[in-house]
Amino acid sequence: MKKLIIVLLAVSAIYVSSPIQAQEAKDGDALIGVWEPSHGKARIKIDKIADKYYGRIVWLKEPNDPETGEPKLDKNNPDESMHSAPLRGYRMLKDFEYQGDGVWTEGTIYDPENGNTYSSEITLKDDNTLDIRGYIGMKTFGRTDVWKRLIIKK
Amino acid sequence: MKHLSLLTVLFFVLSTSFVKAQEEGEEEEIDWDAYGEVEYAGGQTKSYANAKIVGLSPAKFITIGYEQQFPYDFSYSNIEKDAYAFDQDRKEAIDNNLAEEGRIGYTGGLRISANIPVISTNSFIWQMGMNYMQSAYRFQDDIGAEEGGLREQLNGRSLHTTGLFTTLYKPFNETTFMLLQAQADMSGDYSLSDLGDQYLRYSAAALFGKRPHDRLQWALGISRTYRVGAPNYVPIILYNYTSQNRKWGIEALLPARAFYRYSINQTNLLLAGFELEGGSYRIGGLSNPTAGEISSFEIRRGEIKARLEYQRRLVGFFWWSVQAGIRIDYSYDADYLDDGAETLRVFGIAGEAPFSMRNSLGPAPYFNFSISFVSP
Repeated sequence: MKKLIIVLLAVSAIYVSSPIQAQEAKDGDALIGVWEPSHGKARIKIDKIADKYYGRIVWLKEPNDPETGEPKLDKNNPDESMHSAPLRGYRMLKDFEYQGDGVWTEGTIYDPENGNTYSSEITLKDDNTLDIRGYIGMKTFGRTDVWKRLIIKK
Repeated sequence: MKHLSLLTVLFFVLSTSFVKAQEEGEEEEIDWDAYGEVEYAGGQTKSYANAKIVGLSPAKFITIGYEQQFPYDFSYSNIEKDAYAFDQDRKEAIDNNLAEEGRIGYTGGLRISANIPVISTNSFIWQMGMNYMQSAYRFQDDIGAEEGGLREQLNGRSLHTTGLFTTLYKPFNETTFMLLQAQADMSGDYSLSDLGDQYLRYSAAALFGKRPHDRLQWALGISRTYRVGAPNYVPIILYNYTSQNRKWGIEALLPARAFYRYSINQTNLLLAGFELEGGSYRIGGLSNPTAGEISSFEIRRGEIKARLEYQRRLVGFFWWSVQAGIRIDYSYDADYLDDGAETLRVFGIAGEAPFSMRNSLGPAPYFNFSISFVSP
């Protein structure tokens, strides 16, 4: 019986968050939603999977490749096995962790235009605006873009 | 108890599988069309013209390289203040006033540059940078060398250019942008103990342009430049283009450089074209020729480099590059500047200042090897 109690406590400790952690998780979930980068050529839906945040391309202004007329593929990816993967649905934001104060770090952002993956940090400027910085090595060597939150009409 | 342990393990396994499945995209069917009809929750963001177009050769944050010219002939005229008229033929001026001639066995040295973003957002970019360029000279023999002449000044020594520059990029909307650059260079045969503002030279450029789409960018502007040796004010044209299949393109900032680009793949590319490179180099030992007179002896070096360049990714964001081509002399003449006051010789349109020395360098094959930390 004693062992049973210990196991139950251990499981509880992992799966039941404290109120503070719950609040932090709720704040972190402010990232969840559909966002549009400043260039307006794509829309990205950010979801939470386990404790991390991921964003996938859900809409493209120009969905088809002008050369082939077929849906755009991830043909700039350095991994050739991905060249036949459609861009719509591609997970371009990965592994973001909420750090508090409206900041998510430890993630990466993929640029389908050149096939490069950059380190990235996201800052919530207000409820509907994100500053998203992609960088190489140090944050100095990067660029910040402004993303706006979208509301789906349907 | 045993059952409970098994249940716990099963719970963990199922949880992990769920996360893995989510990461791999095995999730519910998505109604893609739903994302086509949207409202902006806090107002629409403004789009700005990106500073780059797709397919360009990688922008270099930091570069360390080495360049060397193979042996070439030279001929120097006598040095005489303002003795050579602006419109006098160079060859004739040298032939009639020949002071030194021979062969230079080695010209080369280090090249370092850094271009660091201070502010880099979609609506404004401010970069600060520095560059260092060394040209060390070794002459092949001393036959006909004049005591105190230019050969003696250069042999076994280096001309240096150390510069600081800043670049501002301001897009106004989705297609229109402005680009400003200012640079201060110290050029000459100075050493660290002999630095001073007598070696300082300023140049600048302003461009206004359009980026109609992701594969084209052009701009028109004006520049104060030392690329032809002496200061000059020239109209400039920026033109960057990438073909629809992204295999080839043009990268040009005329008249400074123009290259045809061929992308073998995402990490290999070839560039073929030319670059105009130069500066005004103060030679300390030939300046202040008369006691008490303040004057600066300046070599107006301008050269055209026709070349083929191969760039390749080394690892991650590090690329290497090798250039091979011909260095063609455009100007190696010299001026005496009283009190450092610049001469004006804007292709003879706005000034016809005479030269104080006329020089000629034969063409030289050259190569350059560099490693860069880049933003692809």
